[in-house]
This record gives sequence, C-alpha cells and structure tokens, in this order.
Amino acid sequence: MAVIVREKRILSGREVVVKIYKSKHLVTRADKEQAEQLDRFLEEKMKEISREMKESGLLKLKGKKGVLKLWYEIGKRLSFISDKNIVPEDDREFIWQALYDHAGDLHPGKSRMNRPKTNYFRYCILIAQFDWDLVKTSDWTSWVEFLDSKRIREDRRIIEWLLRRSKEKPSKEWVEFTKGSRQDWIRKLTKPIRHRFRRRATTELTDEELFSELDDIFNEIYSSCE
Amino acid sequence: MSNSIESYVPREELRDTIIGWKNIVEQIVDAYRVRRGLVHGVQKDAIQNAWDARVYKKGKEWKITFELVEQGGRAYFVITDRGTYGLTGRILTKEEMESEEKLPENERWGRFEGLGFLKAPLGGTLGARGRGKFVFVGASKTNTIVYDSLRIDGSYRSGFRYVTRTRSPVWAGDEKKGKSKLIEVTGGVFKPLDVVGTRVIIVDPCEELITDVASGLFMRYIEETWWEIIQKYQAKIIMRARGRQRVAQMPAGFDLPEEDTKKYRVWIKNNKKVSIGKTTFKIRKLHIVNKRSGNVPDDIRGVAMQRGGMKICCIDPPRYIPWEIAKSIYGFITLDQQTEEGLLEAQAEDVEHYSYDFRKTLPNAIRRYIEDEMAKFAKEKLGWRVDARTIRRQMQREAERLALTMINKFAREIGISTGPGGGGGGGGKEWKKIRLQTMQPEFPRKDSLRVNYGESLKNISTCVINDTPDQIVVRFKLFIRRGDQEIKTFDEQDVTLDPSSRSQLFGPFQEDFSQDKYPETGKYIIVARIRSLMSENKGEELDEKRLSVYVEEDPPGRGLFEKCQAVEVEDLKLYPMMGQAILGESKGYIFEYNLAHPAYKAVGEDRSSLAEYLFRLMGYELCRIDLEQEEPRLFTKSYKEKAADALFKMNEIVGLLMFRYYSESA
Repeated sequence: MAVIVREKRILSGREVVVKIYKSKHLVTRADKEQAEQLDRFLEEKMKEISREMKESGLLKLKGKKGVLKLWYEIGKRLSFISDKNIVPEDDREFIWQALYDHAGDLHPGKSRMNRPKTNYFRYCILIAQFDWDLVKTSDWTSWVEFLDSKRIREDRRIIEWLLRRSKEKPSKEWVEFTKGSRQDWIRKLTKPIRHRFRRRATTELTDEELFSELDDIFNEIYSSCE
Repeated sequence: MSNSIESYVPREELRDTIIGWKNIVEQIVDAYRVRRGLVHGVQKDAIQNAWDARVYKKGKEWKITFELVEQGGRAYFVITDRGTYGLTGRILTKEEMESEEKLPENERWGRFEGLGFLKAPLGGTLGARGRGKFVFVGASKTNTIVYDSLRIDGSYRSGFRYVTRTRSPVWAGDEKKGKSKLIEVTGGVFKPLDVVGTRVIIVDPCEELITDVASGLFMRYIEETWWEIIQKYQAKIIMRARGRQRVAQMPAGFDLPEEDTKKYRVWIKNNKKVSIGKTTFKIRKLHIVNKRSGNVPDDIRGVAMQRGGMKICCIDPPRYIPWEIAKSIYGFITLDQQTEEGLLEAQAEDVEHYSYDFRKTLPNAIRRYIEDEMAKFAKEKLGWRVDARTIRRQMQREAERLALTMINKFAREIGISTGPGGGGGGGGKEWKKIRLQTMQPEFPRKDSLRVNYGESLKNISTCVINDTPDQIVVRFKLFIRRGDQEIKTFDEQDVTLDPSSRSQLFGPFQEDFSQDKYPETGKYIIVARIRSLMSENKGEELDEKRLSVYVEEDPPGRGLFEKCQAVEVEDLKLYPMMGQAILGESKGYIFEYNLAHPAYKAVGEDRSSLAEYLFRLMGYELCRIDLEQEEPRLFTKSYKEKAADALFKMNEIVGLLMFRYYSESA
C-alpha cells in the first residue's frame, strides 16, 4: 500500500503542492486507489476531531496554558492509528506526516512532522493511554520533554512508577513536590532519569531495582528542593 | 635493511608469540558447530583421514571402527582404521616443518602432529590443513587425545596431545618406548595396535558425543555423509557402543532407484559435459529422486554435492518450485576428477569441507546446473503445473527491485556510482573488551540476504567474549525483530564469564520462514545483544550485533538511485513529465514518477510492467546526469555542444540498457 503526503514543489516557476505516495514498494494502480481511500478517511477523521474540539471549546486552548487537555483528547481519538486494518504496519512510519497534512486547525507546528517516533501526534496517543488525573499534574511541554527520552518511551514501568507515586497513597513529600509548581516537577524528574539511564537499558532491571533507583532520583531532587 | 628483520637482534632475544591454544581449539570447534555440529565433524574428519590413507584405491581391506569404551570410571572414544598405510613418516623437527609448507604425501605423522600443513599433491585426497585432529581434541573434555599406529613397514609408534591455555604439546615414542607409554597413559585399558592401521583415542569424550553415539545419531551422520563409498566400495564402517554393534549402510530414506517406480520418480544424467555461460565442466552422474509419498528427512533433502566419495553440501531445490514438491526431492551429483580438482584449485571449498563458495564461478555454475535440472524434473515428471498467478506474483516482487538494482549496477559499471553507501571508513575500530562474536548464518543463497517462504536461515549462533581481567555477568539475548517489534527470541540467559574467557556457543539455531510466522515481507533484523548485570552499570549495553534478513524480497541495492518515489501532479501543463531524478538524501538521486501521467496509467496495473517502465525512464535520466558531469562517462565532452548528437547518443544508450534489462532479467 502507500500513504499520501503533500509537499511543496516549484514547477514551471510556480509553487504547487504535489502528492507523494510514500511506500516501501512500487505504487501500482491498486495501491494508489487504496492510498486515496486512506487519505479520504484521514481527512474526514481529522475534520471530525477538529469539529469536536471546537465544539467542546478545547481548540481555544491551542497555544495557551491549558493546551494539555486538548492534546490529551486528540490522542484518545487517534488511537485508530494502531489498528492494522486501517494502517498497515509497513506504512505506519509515513502516517504521521499525513496526519499533519490533514490537521487543519489542529496542526501542532511543523517542527516534528517528519519524525516517525517523536512527533506530537504520537505523543498525544501516548499520553492518552494514562489517566487524566496523572497527566494533568504537569503540562504539555514537560510531557514532551519526558517522552523525548527513548528509555522512558521504551519502558512503561517508568510511567507506572509515576502513576504509583501519585495515586497509591502519595507521600507527603510527593504531594508537596507536585502541587502548585505544575510543569516543574516532571521536568525536574526527566533530566536526572535521562541522565542516569543514558547508557543503561532499564528493561534489564527488576521492578524492585528500577523503582528503587527512581525513588533515589526522586529523593535526591526532593532534598535538593528543600 | 637486510632481507630478514631477525638479523638485527641476537637470536636468543627473539621470542615466539604466545598462542591461546584453548581459544584456537574453540574456534575450530565453533566452525564445525555452525555447520553440522561437533559430533558430525568428528565422524567426517575421522573417516576422511582414514579414507585418504587407504592402501587400495577402491578400499579393499579398508575398515574403520568407532568404539565407545567405558572402563575404570573413565570413557574413551576410539577410532581405529585398517587397510591404511598407518601414520607413516618421521617425527619431524620444527626446523624441518618450517622448511616447506607442503609436506610430502608420506609424512603422515608429521602432518598429524602439525597444524596448517598442506598435503602435496593437492588432488586425490579429501582433507587439507590438519584441522581435523583438533576436532578430536575439542571433543575431549580434557582436550586430550592419545594415538598409535602400526605402519605398513611394520614399525610402531604412539603419541599423545593435550591442550592447555597457551600450549599444545605432543609426545611421540617408537617401538617399545611407545608401546609401554600407551599402556601407561591409558591405565592399561588399551594395548598397542597389532594390525597395520591407526588408532585415535579421544580421552573423556564430551557428553554430546556420547549422547549422539548412544542414540544412533552418530551412525546416521556417517551414513548420510559416506553413503557413496558404502554403496560403491562396500566400505566397512563399524560402530560399537554399550554392547551393541552396527555396520553403516545406505542411509534410511536415501533410496536411489535407477528407474521410475510406483514409489519414486527419477531424473538421471550421466557423463555429461555442461556449459553454463563461459564455464564448462563435466559431471559423472546427476541422480535426482522424488519420493511420491511426500517428505524426505531434512538431512538428505536437496541434491548432495559429492567429492571423493564424501558429501560436501546439499543444493536445495530452487525457490520457485512449490514446497509440496521441493520437500520430497533428494539425490546427488558426482563430478569428473578434473572438475573436482578445479574446485580445490579455486579454493572454493571451505576448510571444514561443508560448503562451497558459490560466489566463485565454477561452484556457482554447478549449482545453477543442478537447480535447472531440478526445475526441469519438476516440470516434466512431477506434474509441476506452473501456476501462472504464483509465478506472476513472484516475478512482480522480483521486478520491483530489479529496476533499481540494474540501473545502479549499470551506473556503477561505467563509474558514476556516487550514491549512498559510498566511502565506508570505519577503519581502525577497536574491539570491545566485552563483546559478541557472531558466526555468519547460512542463508539459502550464498550471495544474498534474501529468504523466501518455505526456506530457512541456518546456524544462527554467537558467543560472548570477555577480554577483561575481571569476572563479568551479562544478560545475553538473541532475537529477531521487525522495526521495533520483537518477533521471536531464540535465546535469552544470564551469563557469568571468568576473566579472559569466552562463553559456550549459543546456538546454532535455525529459523524457518513461513507466511504464517512472517506475514509481512521485507526487512527483519536478527539481533544479538549483551547488557551488563553488574551492579556498577546494570543495564548498560555492552555490545550489539545486527544482521538484516529480507523476507521474500531482495535487499535494496546501493548506488546512484536511492529509491523510486511516486508523485502525483494532476496538472500536466505544470508537470508533463513521466518522471525525473531529484537529489536524494544521501548523495544519490530519488527517481520520482508521476502517477497522473497517462503513460503510468497504461503500465500501473502490475509491478513488472511498472518496473520496466521505470527502468527505461531512469535510463534517460542516467544519460542526463552523466552529461551534466564535468567528465561524462557515457558521452564525450563534445556532445555538450551538439544537442542533436547527444539526443541520438542517448537513444542508443537507452536501447543498450533495455537490451541488458531484458537479457539479464530473463
């Protein structure tokens, strides 16, 4: 199959948008038709999400302080991307750029549109997998920074640790740590986590070892904040 | 400077290099392991040595006996031959060994004690470099072998070898001295040989050898490797273990009928001169059999390439033949002496005698001939009705890569191959102290990373090396992935390694590629990885080795054109072109083809027509790219001023390219 993305080209002296059929194979007419069908589906879907966001008033948050809720809700609605029947695995790496093409009002900016692993729509889907209660304790910028770490993206237990620390009887220190300062707490944690596991795969650590190291990180930061 | 650097220092100040003998033995053993295993290597080398030393060409009075002796709380694996010359020759000094690389035929003892000394003359014998005895050493838990020989002139000699970390000492003694030493070192379990021949005793044989001997697998290996001398010369190969004796026969399932029967269909070619391309060779016999009732055992499937009575390797049926037919084909090919010598002279056979280098002309031509004959057999006698749709699908997949591969090949040939993958560099890279050593797996085709459905990737194996002075603990994992998704784990375990040591070999594993397991075609990656489990850096990735495997497609070609990419510009006034080359991401070009063009619409139904169409268009662009070069290769500089001449020349070049496309892809 193939995925249609759009790029600007100068043709006969004029700037025009051309359709590129991204695929790992030569594009036959059958592939072309399927790609066009997918393209129409994505266009409709993005319009529908955009309409919903507008009606719920969330779209107004774009570029503002509480934008996290907008991206969280978009992420929930983009979960269809992981459905193999809609997007074949071979084409998944190209789908993100296509989402950007059809994003309209939802367009998060071009800076990451060609990055299959670290683009904003993918992050929307990732954070939408967690409870809003956890997600809302920080802000979008800090979550992006958090998810930019390969180790964190690859080991779900780090997020689970966050969940546990915040939900299961959060300690007095944790409450103090997270309250009020919003973006700060997750940002303060991200850096030392990235630093500590820069060369180490956390997946080789047992739950106990990983959580103990993460607790250490937390305690170090907490004590330095006091 | 004089001829030899040693003249600059007193001789006594020169030291020999310290050799890691244990590692050498391990390496030799590993090389066998990744082929058919250590135990297979033991029988192959033992019989090869004995057969090479036979007195009569047709094996009259020749016999080899394998015996598992368990006595006095100790085990021995004994290999004894008869009807041979025995280990003739003198005990050679280091100086004598140094004087020439190829030892005379008669100096059998000298070769048996050395390593890396070729026989002279080359032809007529099976072995080559004396690695075999180290398989025996490797099959001993204590790395010890004892041997004795009663030679054809009536003289007796015994000896032994053991291997320590940095030494591989040998001892030898003649007559009385040798006889008493043999009795002494074996605790009286063995008496000196009293019949002409040679005996090798593997002291404390490893468990896998004992297990395979006891289970009968060892005998199966013998029969599958040596069926030709068993059939032709009634060679006597005997196995004795735990009160039972077996004499090797033709391997079960390897019936070789000369005519079609109810149970079998056969395809035979005798004494034929064959020409493939510019290579000509002569076969003695090609004998292919199809078992009508279905499967034949894995170890005999395909056509065995024989040399000097020994099976070297098997050629699998070509990939287009459906599995239902391919799975029941077996047989062999024997070649005339000149062709066999040609293979040896070309150094096409690996040192373990398990494969040929099919990149070389002669083995490649022989393989092509065998494959062609198997396909003819399948079509003419096995009712292989070539399903047009299957072949078409297969051809389309091939064609897809073909356009790029061929245009890049042509560009490379004429010297305009500036594309991705150039340069290289990477020299001077140091080995990591803690690292993986991976063996090259065996692909279905020697020169390609491609695997089709129904085919297997064999001998996936690796080991961990610790060159540090400390004990290490690592987690080893060997798995296959597609993108980020792990498809299958072959092995995962925690490994503790002593200072300066290496682990056991992990594997060899075999992966069978089926459509069920690998529904997506394309690139998969086999990954071997070690991560630290030591407290100071737990989780740190210490080494990783990757190998790409392409399922049902050829690996991407590197070269001038990086890829083809489809674009659609509906307004043909703006973009009337069928396609054009634009600068790519890695110094090469991307060829963009316009899906809106009616010419595309005419060929876009199937990939083969599309591939040909794109090849043609890339041919035109290749001319343009060349003409834009300061020093064009296809054109002369004068064409730059003469547009009409250049266009004519371009037509000629594209014509030539299309000729090659059709002739080489046929």
